[in-house]
Amino acid sequence: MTALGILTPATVREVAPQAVPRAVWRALLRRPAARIGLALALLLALVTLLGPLFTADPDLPDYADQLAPPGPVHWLGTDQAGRDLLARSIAAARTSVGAALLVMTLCAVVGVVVGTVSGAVGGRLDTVLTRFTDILLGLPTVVLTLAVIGVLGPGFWNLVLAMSATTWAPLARLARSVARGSAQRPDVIAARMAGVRPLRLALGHVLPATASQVLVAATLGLAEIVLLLGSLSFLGLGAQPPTAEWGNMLSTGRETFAYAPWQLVGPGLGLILSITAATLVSDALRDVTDPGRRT
Amino acid sequence: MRAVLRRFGQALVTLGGASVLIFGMLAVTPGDPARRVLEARGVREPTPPMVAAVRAELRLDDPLVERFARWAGGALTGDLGISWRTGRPVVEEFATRLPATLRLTAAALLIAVVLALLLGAAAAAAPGRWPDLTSRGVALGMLVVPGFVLGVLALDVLVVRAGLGRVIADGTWATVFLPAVTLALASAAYWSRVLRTSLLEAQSASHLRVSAARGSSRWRRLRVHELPNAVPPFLTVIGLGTAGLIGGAPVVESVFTWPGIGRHTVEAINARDMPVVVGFTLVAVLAYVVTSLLVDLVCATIDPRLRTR
Amino acid sequence: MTDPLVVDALTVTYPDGHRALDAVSLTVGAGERWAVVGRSGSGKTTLVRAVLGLLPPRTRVTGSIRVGGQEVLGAPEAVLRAVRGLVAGYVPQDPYAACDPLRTVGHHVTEAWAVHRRRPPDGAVSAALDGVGIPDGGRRALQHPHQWSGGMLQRATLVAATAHAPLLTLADEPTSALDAELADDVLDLVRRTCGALLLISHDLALVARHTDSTLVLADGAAVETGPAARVLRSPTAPETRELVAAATVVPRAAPAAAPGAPVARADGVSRRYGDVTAVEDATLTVAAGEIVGIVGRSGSGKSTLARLIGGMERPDTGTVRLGAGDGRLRPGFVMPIFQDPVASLDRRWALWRTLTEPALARGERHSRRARRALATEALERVGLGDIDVDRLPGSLSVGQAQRVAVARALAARPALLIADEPTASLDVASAAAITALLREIADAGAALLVVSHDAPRLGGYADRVVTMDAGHLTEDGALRDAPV
Repeated sequence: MTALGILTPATVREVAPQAVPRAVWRALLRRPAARIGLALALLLALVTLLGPLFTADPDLPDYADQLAPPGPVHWLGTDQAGRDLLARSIAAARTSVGAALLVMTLCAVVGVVVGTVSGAVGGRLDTVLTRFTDILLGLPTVVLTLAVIGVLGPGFWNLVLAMSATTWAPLARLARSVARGSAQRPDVIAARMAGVRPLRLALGHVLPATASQVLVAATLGLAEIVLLLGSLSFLGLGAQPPTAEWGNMLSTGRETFAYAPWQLVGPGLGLILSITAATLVSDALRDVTDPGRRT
Repeated sequence: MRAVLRRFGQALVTLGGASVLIFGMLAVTPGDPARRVLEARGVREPTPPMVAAVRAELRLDDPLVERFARWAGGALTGDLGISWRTGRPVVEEFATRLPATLRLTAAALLIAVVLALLLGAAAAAAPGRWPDLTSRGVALGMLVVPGFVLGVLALDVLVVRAGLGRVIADGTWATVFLPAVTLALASAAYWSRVLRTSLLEAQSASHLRVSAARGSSRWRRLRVHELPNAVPPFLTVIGLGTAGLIGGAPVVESVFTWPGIGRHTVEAINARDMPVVVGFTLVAVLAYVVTSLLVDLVCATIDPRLRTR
Repeated sequence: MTDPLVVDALTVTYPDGHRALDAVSLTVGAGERWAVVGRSGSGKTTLVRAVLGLLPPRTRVTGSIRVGGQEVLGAPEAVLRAVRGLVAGYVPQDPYAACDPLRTVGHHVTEAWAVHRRRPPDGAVSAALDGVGIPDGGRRALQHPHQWSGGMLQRATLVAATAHAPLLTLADEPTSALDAELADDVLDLVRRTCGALLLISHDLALVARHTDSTLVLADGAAVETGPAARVLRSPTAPETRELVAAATVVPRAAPAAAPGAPVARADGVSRRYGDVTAVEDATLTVAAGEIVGIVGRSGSGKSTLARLIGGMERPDTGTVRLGAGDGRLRPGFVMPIFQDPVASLDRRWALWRTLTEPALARGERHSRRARRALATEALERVGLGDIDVDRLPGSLSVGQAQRVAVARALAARPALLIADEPTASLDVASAAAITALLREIADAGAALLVVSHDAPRLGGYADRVVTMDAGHLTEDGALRDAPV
């Protein structure tokens, strides 16, 4: 159920040359599915950012009002400590989605750095980095993540670190191939012959190409990252209570599910909606940037 | 033939690299393994001589390279060390639990492949029309509902409330259905999408039109050209997806209290019982590397381009 | 005897409402060789698909198509299948795309037999392959398409289409994926092996050499029909005239003035890649104000020689002297022009950034506004004054993009321009515009080295053309009579 293999070398590949940001946006907005996904993402972002202004304190216990069912005061009810579940679900969105974005960014940065250094410097360093990347690529990500958490111990930051440490490899391979290909790109050759200096060449022509390709590829993996973070937190390996996080809220809510099933509504919907948004957008993104493949 | 040997070599390099990585994890884990083993043996307050004795017993003071060689040698001969929590050999702990995990993954694999074939074929048969839209909608739904959420709902609604099935999953075939479906759904969804794509890609290949221009029948084109071309991508994704099933096992096993090695590993992580974690990692990595090797070899028998490269 | 193909008032409307063919009529008699020419999108391919009954579902077709006397419009699948392959053979455009990568070449060659439940006669495949110049055909037929070269594979698909001696052969741009020399070889074979021929092409020179009659399509309508020689010599329809004019290359008269000072000189240069010798002992000088062309097949080493002369690669032996020859060149002394114009511009950069990059690289400092003005000037120089400098390369046509690439090269104030197949990606009209532009640049005093496989076109604007063959420079002289 986790690690479907979306972030794998088979799926992380160079996208079509017409992937200019503006053009991609326009093409994305033409697709109904992408529009739904983007609208959903926007809604989630708004609720996450503005929600806390209108809701109760997510960490304030109220022992007189434990496990209250949904009602006019507590729209989603309260948990076993009497904390407002709507407020907690919204607070959890920050943790969960924030962690996913963080993992995605870390992976993209590590991928771009390793891949570009490897592709641009070449030689021994390239061989070593490529071998290492290849080994990571040949291993199951989730299992490795579990092992790294075993080393670091459970916890929010450890989970973020563990996931980033094990998920960057496909992006590095992509970045390396883009960086290597860039040296042979006609526009880069022309610029070099016109006398543009190497650093300027790298920053102006090579890095934007690498970064945008890697970013697209990383976005495609976002849904999977949200899912995996949620699953591992559910197992108690991520953010620990009382920090609100969808995975651990589901895990605690589960204990009282039999007589207070509303415990699962907030975090469950949060996870499902955010994964839906990420999936819809990334599907459309894949179609738009890789027109050779139809999904 | 050279390509096959190279692929074998590649798998070996991956396994070698992985074992170094995994041993490295064992070595850098904070805490003194000797103390943990002593605790497991019931010694509350170990004295320095006792710790030293265990360190000597486990030969923890040998140089790293030697320890790695001994550890790797042990792993090759089926010795994964002893659990820091129980003091028992890890292999023994796995032996009692592995069958349950194998049953779960095998059932899930079967369910996922069947579902993926049904959904993917239905979608590709009429692209853009209702079977396609339905199948894609179903697949999206299966993809976006996290398995553990689904598992919790299934367990509590179907089992506890409606009284279908047994609450305690005992790891036998009789209780495997719900956890296996839970484990299978997301993979099935993803695989069905890949199958649809590769079928559509095979359908739109221009060599089909050329074949039609030579007078071939629709059925012949499907049988001789379309399906064979769609198989390798589908197989590849299933091979990689097996890792998804292995990786998903800890979660589903925990939800359904399935007595397999996945749940055991989660408990081990929480107890920082590294030999067990490392053992699980090794087993899962081995399964993954072997599966992808097999899949690549099968694909190479289908696609001649993979043989000459 | 019935005519192999009679098309009468054929009108084809695709499901999206696009009318691809409008009342087209055509009769191909036994043994006749017809060409259908027209710009892309004029309905040529639709005509072939209609004849084979391979139009997409829900396409509306009216009129009549009789192949060997058999009406195919509305015919049941079984009848169509009997027509396809046996009565009408089909030669596809791109041989690799036309072959299933999982099946052997032999499988494709014998497919027409197999699908009609016949066994190929013993040795027929190997004999047929032998007949098109592929020795050891029986063994090679067991190989897969990716192991064959494009030219060989195209000959194999030709065998697959004609092995039954069909009444009619339909060839849809059968040579567009091939080199010019190979194209003629393949078409000679087509002529030898086909019954009646219907050849789709946009290459008028090829049509003139290999067919007797021509049908010109424009926007789905037949605008001109007649003997090939007449249609191409004295076209009457404006669309035909346009096509002919764009394709006509007037051989250039001998250079008026003596060439200027040498800008680049290669002396006995050789270059090897592994075991392959790309260039061996080549000597060539390019002087200011002249265009030197290098022609040759693909793989002949012509591009490598150009890169050596441009200093983009170092020779293994021999010397290359650029400019004063003191080894220190100012940036932009040599500038490239590439085959794929869109790829030669950074697709993320607005035109003004690309066009002023050389100036910045020289160390000039300009405000943003000054850079845009410079860019506009640069575009005016290549006849694109009305193009907005804020546009991205992706929004330009290929021809426009190539002009921008030329403008960028000029912005570096080069003494030597190296152009590798500058017109190969362009349609005839854009190609003509680019060659005129290159001529102007040379006349203004720059040296140009142009690599191309299109000898006739190169002859139209180069001062000298040299030929590369298997790494050897075989000819260095004034221009011969350029063939049409």
